[in-house]
Amino acid sequence: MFSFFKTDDPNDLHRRSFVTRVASGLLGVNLFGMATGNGWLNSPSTAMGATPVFKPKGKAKRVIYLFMNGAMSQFETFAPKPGTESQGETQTINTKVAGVQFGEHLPMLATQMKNLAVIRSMNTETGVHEAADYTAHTGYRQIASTSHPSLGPWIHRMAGRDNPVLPATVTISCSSAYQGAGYLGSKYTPVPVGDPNKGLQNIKPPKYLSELQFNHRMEMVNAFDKKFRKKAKNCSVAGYTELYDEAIRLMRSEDLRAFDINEESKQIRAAYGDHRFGQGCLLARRLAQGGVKFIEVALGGWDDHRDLFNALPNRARQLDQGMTALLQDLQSLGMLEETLVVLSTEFGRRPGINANAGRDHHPNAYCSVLAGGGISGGTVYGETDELGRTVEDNPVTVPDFNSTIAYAMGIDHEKEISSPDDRPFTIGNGGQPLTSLFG
Amino acid sequence: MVPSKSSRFVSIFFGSSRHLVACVVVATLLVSLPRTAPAQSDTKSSNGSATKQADGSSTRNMGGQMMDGSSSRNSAGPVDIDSGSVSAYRPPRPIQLDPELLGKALESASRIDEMIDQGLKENRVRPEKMTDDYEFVRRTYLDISGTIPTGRQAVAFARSRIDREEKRTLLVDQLLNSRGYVSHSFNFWAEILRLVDAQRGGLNLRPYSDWVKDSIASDMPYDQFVYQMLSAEGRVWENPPVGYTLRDRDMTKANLDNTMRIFLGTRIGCAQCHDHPFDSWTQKQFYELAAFVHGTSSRHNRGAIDKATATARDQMKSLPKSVETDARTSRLRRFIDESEIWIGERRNAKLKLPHDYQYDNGKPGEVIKPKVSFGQMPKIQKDVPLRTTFATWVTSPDNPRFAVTIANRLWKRTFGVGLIEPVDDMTDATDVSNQELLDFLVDELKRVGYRQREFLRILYNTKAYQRKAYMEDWDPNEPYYFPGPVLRRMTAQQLWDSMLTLTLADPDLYQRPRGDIYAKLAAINPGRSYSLNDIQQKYDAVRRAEGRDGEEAKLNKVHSHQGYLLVRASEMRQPQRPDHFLRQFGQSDRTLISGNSVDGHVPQILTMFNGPISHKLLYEGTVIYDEVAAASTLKDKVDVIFLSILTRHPTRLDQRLALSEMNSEGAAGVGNLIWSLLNTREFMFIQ
Repeated sequence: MFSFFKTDDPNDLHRRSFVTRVASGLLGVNLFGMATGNGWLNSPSTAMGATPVFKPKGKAKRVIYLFMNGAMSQFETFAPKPGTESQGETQTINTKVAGVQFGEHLPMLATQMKNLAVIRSMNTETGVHEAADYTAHTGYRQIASTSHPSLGPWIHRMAGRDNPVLPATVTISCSSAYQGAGYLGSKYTPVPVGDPNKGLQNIKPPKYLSELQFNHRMEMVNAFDKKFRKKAKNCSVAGYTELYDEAIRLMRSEDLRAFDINEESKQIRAAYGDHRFGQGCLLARRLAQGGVKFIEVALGGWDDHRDLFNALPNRARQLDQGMTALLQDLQSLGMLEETLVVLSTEFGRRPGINANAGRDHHPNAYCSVLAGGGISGGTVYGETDELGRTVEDNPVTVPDFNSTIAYAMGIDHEKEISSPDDRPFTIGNGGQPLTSLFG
Repeated sequence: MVPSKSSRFVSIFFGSSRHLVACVVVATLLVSLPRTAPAQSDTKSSNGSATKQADGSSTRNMGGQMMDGSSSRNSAGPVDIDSGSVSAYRPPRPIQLDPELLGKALESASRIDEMIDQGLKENRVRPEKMTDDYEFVRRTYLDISGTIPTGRQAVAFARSRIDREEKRTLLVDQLLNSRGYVSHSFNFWAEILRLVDAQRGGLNLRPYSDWVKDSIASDMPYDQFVYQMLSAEGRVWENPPVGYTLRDRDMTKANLDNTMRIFLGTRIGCAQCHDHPFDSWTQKQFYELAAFVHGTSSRHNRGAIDKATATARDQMKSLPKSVETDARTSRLRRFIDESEIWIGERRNAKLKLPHDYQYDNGKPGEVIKPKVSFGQMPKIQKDVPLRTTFATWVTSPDNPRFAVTIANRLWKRTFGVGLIEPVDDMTDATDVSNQELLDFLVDELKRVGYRQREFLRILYNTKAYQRKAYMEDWDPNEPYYFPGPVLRRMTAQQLWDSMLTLTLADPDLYQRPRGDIYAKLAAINPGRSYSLNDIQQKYDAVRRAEGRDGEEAKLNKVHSHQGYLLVRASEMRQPQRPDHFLRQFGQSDRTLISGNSVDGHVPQILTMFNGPISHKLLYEGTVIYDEVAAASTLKDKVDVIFLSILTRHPTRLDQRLALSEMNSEGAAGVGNLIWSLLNTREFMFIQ
């Protein structure tokens, strides 16, 4: 099924050595261990600028992050309050783990509960979408003078990349605002894919243009641009220069096929569901196989202020189908143990139904889910009061949550990185990892 | 696009007759004839009246009355872009700057320069040198009209023998009077106001976007512009500024948060749930402000519409049940629903503190009275809606944050950095890099009657603006003293529109048909009675208008190339689909205020390398191709390519390389050169 990862094809070896040559030339990266067997997926990460001082506890090599844009209701999904006034019309169902219930729209994920750790005690500081979205992605509060990097660029910075050609971070169907490299600089900028069915656009030069001619054009670009670049001692300009090199490496790589879900069988595609989110999950799995370190897939529309009981079920079913297929697929490929699957959102929704048959914002309590990557499944962490208003047990903040992701990846969540203006930042922003979730 | 024409122009630009050049240049500058298509009535100029458009239609007044005569301009007949003969819709030509105000503008500009120079001196910062003509013409076109100049326009400007200062002033006026200014300013406001064609759930908000565009074209005073958005009542196609409230429909608190941030540069969102952690805002103050807008209702005339559609809905109920019927009736119900969306105010709505209110200054569930937290408390009158009172307070000349926020925003638009940063987060502790200057700007804004265009005219005439760009990174934690405007990457829209300038003879030719034709077809009006059949007919008419055979779709087909609609960013759907060039280069999805970005990533580069737009430029039929073809010598061809793309002559080194390329590669060499220059960072950045 994944022929493009085979390396026994002589052409493939040739390509690898080309990649190696280009990459080592341009990046100064040592790529030993990359080109053997089906091996570079399993090889230790060849870190760029990483300093492995922290003892990794988790086994994760990469993260697939499913972000529920608009603030997903916890009552309809992973933290129902059956039999209370908070619950509204949505029924609950039993999962495969005794005593754990989900909202009725997640029947397939209910069968996956043995793989999941559900955190029911998430809370965040603000009920404003933008601010909470910012915090969810960066771990930091939005402030005036600093643009914080999001989690993908952080992990890239701390753990390097597994494939020197494919981008370290890819976002799928995400809105662009807070998936940025911030002060880390544009070489860490995530690569966005709008439509998973189309993959990366404009990846091939026109047919008439040979590689030689392309190189010739690039030489001219660099000659004409020399004076300007010398004058502009500017991060943004320098960042673009690095992106040019990266784009060229990517264009020439066979590994690009990781972006093409059309290579998947009909059955596999159907299992993930005939919707953008499901196909996005499938693309995420292919990219994970290709060595992309952090993949975010967004499912939007959760801002159910109105008409929740009609609008939400279809969306929840997409989540149910896509995420379940992803977990099952990763498991059958033997990748689940080394792939941390994360589901989160900006904040929760209110207990009780408003006048428009919807739920308003509720930052005090919401839920997130972790699976794979060394997480012990079948776990529920933290609890809210009877009505789901406030957290009563084991509160978890975004910094705690991000520290947990770092921990799963073997990244020191307290290691400081300096921004260009010399201020210290950490991936965990002072949070504590939930070590008890790991087996 | 038209060979006979281009050869004439090229000989003008690159021929030897300098006299002729000078004459043409003067004519271009004075008569203001930028690239308009022939036979358009709008070349006649307006005398600068504030409420009348050149085409005779009148703009909306303070009371939110309808603009008349729009239906006759909706017709967008078949178009042949290659022949240039077009009968497309043309919106009102932008109102012209007042010639009487020029003298005072120049005086104010030099006053600003004194203050900037003082700041530079005190802080021992060396100003940048003045721009040369090419640098200036490129930047000014990009900043004011949103696109690079054509090579022809650049050369005309550089070779003009008018006194340097005077010709710069003339160019600024000419550009501020152009359609390009409206287009570029629309993009600017579209990102701030999060303009979208349709709201989630399908409500058509295009009349609101059209209104924003019209307001820019007529240079509506900014205080009126904001006042109308905050106070308007009714349906979006009847009173388009209600779109501002509809953008956050049924989310009154979020809308308030946005209002405070956009127009008063103040972030109070945190205080919605608790006292602001690092500013002085309390949750109670948030509620007091919210009490002004709490009564906002988005279905103000629901009862009347329900009555008008009672027959239709009864008929729906009596239809035989089936899956198809259900689908049909639910479509029609949603359709009726759109006509119910009507902004108004519930007079008796009471706002209470939340049940878990935790501070001493109020009790959970306590009813909160409207109260402002800074500025003058407006008088609350029985017969005036609270929303209107709130709008009056926000836009009052006495509001300490209203004028300063927009003055600072427009300063940032001009120089790339605000005097206060960020522009929408002032606190008591905010540092101002030059307080005297900021105060002066606020006074000037008021002096010109809140007209953004007159205000910008002052800024563009400063020496501070006309200096070379500051090319290094500036530290956001340190005050910036404005040795020059900062180096900026083009916005997504500037980049797209610049590619268009290299492609089309008149990128401003296509003006998007007005969005209210759909809304008008859809309107269900109170006081009438509609049968199921009536509703179905209306529904079908809207679908037809929006569908493939609708006017707009047909028009767009003519203006498309390889699936790309080749029209200016402001004339396209808002926002574009996620994989469009514009979105790739940072147009936002309009979820967040100013969510647009100029950050780079790999797919952008791939688009520039391999995308259909950069490749279109290498083929016959584009402006740049035809200009190059018409130039006689190889040296001239190289000149045309450099001037068209980078707005400068090639250096000696550039020229040697380019000539050897042309000599060895022939026609392919031209393509290689164009492609190479488009892919320089110099092209993408504004100096």
